[in-house]
Amino acid sequence: MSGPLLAVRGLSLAIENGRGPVTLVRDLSFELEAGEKLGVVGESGSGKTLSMLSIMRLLPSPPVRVIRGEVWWEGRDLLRLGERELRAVRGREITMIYQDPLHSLNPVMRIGEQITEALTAHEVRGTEARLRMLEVLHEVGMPDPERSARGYPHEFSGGMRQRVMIAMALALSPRLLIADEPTTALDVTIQQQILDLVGRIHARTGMAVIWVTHDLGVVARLVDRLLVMYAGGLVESGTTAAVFQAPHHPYTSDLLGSLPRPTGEQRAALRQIPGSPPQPADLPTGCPYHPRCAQAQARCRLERPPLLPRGLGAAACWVPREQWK
Amino acid sequence: MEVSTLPSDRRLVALRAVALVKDYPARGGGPPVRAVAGVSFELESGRTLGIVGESGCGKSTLGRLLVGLELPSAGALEIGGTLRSRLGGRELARRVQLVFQDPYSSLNPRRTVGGAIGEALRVHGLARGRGEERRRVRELLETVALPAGAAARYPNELSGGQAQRVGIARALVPEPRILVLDEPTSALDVSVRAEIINLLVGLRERLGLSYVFISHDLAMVRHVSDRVAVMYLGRFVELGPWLPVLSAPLHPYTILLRAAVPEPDPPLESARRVPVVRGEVPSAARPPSGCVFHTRCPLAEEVCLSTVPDLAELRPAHLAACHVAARRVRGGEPRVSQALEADAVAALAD
Repeated sequence: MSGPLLAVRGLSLAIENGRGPVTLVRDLSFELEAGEKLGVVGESGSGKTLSMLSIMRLLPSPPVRVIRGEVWWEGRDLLRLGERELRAVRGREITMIYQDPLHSLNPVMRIGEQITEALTAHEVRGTEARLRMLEVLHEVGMPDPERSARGYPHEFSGGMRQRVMIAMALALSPRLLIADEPTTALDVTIQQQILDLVGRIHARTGMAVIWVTHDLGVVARLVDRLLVMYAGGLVESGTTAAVFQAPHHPYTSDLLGSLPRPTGEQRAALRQIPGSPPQPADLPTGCPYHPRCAQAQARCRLERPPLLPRGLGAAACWVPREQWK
Repeated sequence: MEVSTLPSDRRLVALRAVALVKDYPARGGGPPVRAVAGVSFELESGRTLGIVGESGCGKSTLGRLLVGLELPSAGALEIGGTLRSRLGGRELARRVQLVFQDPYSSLNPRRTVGGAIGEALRVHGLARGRGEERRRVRELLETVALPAGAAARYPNELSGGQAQRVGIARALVPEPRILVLDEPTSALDVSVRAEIINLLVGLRERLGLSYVFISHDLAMVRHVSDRVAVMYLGRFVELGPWLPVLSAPLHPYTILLRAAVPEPDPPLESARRVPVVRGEVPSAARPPSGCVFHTRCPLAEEVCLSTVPDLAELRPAHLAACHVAARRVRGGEPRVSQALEADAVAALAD
């Protein structure tokens, strides 16, 4: 089949807060090619995690629900799939790992059994399941897989638990791994072990990866293409190299300027961004970034900019980069 | 940045720690857990000492020792020229204060900002009467660039950045000379971190403060520090001026830690080979023999397993606790930092 592996079209999510629906994600569209590594960058409340959960139909619904949109996978809209068909995709073709593996591991079940159970749910049984379980534990670098398999989640460190989660996610050789801040709670040397592991698995299996993070350094190291989200919307997309070299949305540009660098002989002043990200129930009119934006013009306060072609990518900003102050 | 060698030119020492140790009793008996295992340093007045390390390295415990929230099991602490043990609670509070990581958890949700700062003023006996209290609250809010109207707000009405400003204002109530900042930006959204860092840098200049800046974020530590200490399993493994410690590190742990931090710079990232450190930090209850880093160190030799390396001055004002680096520096080898990094990369690439 030609065309993208995954296509999200016009996805909007809302939550009921008693006074009516509040939009959390607005009109999100993007595509992912087979084997691609895509980064989704945003701060807390940007809608990045909810968007990914909705692709997997794992939204806490209610209270959050999909208002509009389609999620195309292999010619099918996942948002309109029956529960049985969905189960054949979720966990098998698309899997997800999270920031806190403890939330997704069963605390009273040995990790080997949990992986075998995941396999059994998808018709891999008996000796075959057991061998595959040991194989993936070995692949993710668990020491002594036979012994690790008999351990309970609490007996492992955060880094090791994340390896177990990755093992479980990989057991069925998915075509897409969605990773939601899986290294945010880990130390930087352990984070590097996980980034290295995912990089190796990607190189060997060619599975596509969506890596959700607030850390621009991590995406610079890992992904080919980037989506930047702010206040529930996509504000910029492009190749990682292009977005970092010449961002077309002031938010991306400001964020890059505000980061201290870990190396180099010089220390530049950090560019300070006034204010803080808005609450979903209290979004400014027009462009949601305009109250914090040094480039904002009259139009930005009134009209929300759509995603416009900019450079080789796209940005939701009325003011072209060439006209920035 | 300039490190003077002339005694007459030396700045006053704001804080001096000598062989500080902190032990905690182990859960279920056994030998105590040594969270801080003999840390010594001087903080010069008006300067910032950055302390960087990963979770469990003892950096937060060290911070709590420095402000008197914990008492050391051994060692001495001198604050503004007086032994900490000779300072009463109020007097200690007027010399050193702690700023916490999570600004919300350190604020009472049912008390307004003005109420919280006012209470701190009364606790320290620094406000005589309502009028003076209100005036001081206004001044402190102004110091951290919050509008006077913020005094009437409750913590849940504040953004993360505003709440951390309140945390800083409250720490400034007793007019301390030293602030210990424990991960002051880690709980904040990325886009508001720069504003808090710029505020802290400005306050240090304006009020003549000295900082101990504790963080797991190496880039942030690099940005704000005059000197940097790298901590691993309760010890300083490297200590010196920020530039040599972070640009030409001598301890293999610093070298690997720095390499593990991804840089927001795709061409640079795609050009470099990142060495991946083996294993995880051992338990502080059973630290390895010899050099505590030897279990993960790609350059470890026989001697590292048996003998604890001294934190020795290998370059001017630049100390590292590593047998291998010490031998190679003293042997006159040029560009030891780069050579060690190349050796580490080669040893870890399999």
